[in-house]
Amino acid sequence: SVTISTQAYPQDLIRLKVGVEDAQSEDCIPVTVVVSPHMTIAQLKDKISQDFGFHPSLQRWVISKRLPRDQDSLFSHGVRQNGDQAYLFILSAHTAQLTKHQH
Amino acid sequence: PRVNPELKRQKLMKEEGLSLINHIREAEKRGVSPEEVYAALCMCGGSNVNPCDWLMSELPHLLDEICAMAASVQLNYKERDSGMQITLDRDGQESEQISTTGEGVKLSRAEAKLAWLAAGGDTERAVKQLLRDRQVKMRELHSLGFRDVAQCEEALRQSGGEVKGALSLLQRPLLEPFHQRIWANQPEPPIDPKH
Repeated sequence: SVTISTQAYPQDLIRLKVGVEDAQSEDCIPVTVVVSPHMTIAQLKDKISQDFGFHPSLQRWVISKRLPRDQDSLFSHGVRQNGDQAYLFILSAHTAQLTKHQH
Repeated sequence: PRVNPELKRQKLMKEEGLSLINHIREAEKRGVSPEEVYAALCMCGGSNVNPCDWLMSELPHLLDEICAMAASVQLNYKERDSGMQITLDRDGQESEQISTTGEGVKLSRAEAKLAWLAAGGDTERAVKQLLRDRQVKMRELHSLGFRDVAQCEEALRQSGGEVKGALSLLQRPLLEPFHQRIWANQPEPPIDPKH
């Protein structure tokens, strides 16, 4: 059988505070997501899609005053350690031109 | 008391993020995408102008300007063994530009907007992006057998930069004879002697 060495996993996991919002929400809903700062935004979108079921095309991430692009890493936008804050804006399917079928 | 710099960093991170999120939320209610708001904020960041208002009133002018800037960049199309190479030279020899490339690149606002959004609101980068995108499309049309540069440029302008649309514009004349033959030279309907 094959076993994966634990060292293959990144050791630098941090707890990122994420405020989740959409156009209707009054306040942001705080959640904590365990991430590696070296993850890209695309990987983060996939993770959120798997964990919470929001299609990647519906997710817009905000870190500090930036709208990072898919290929950017969290680290490159200043995410370093536990308690760092990011925001996740959920677009409406209408705005994102997503159909139920794709979802 | 000394402020912990780490806490200060996290506080700023939170505040700045929240400010952008509020703009994005406001924009979605007005049907404006997060990418548009973000790019608009880069342009009117310091001022108190609402980014959505700015997009409505100012963006069309900026897009025209981006098209003009891109068109002022000299384009030289050269045939190379595997397709077309375009070299860019900024300004300079303007007379030569006219003689070699005629009217130069014809860009649409639609393409300029895509490039501007991809560049996150940076005008200079948008111009480069716009020309790069156009170059890729010209290569694609070239590889499909459309070698007339001016014709391809015009087709792309008319289609708002869409290769699919440009292709059908370019191919329409090829099929025109069929249209004409549908109505021309129709043989007389045969007369049935039994009736």
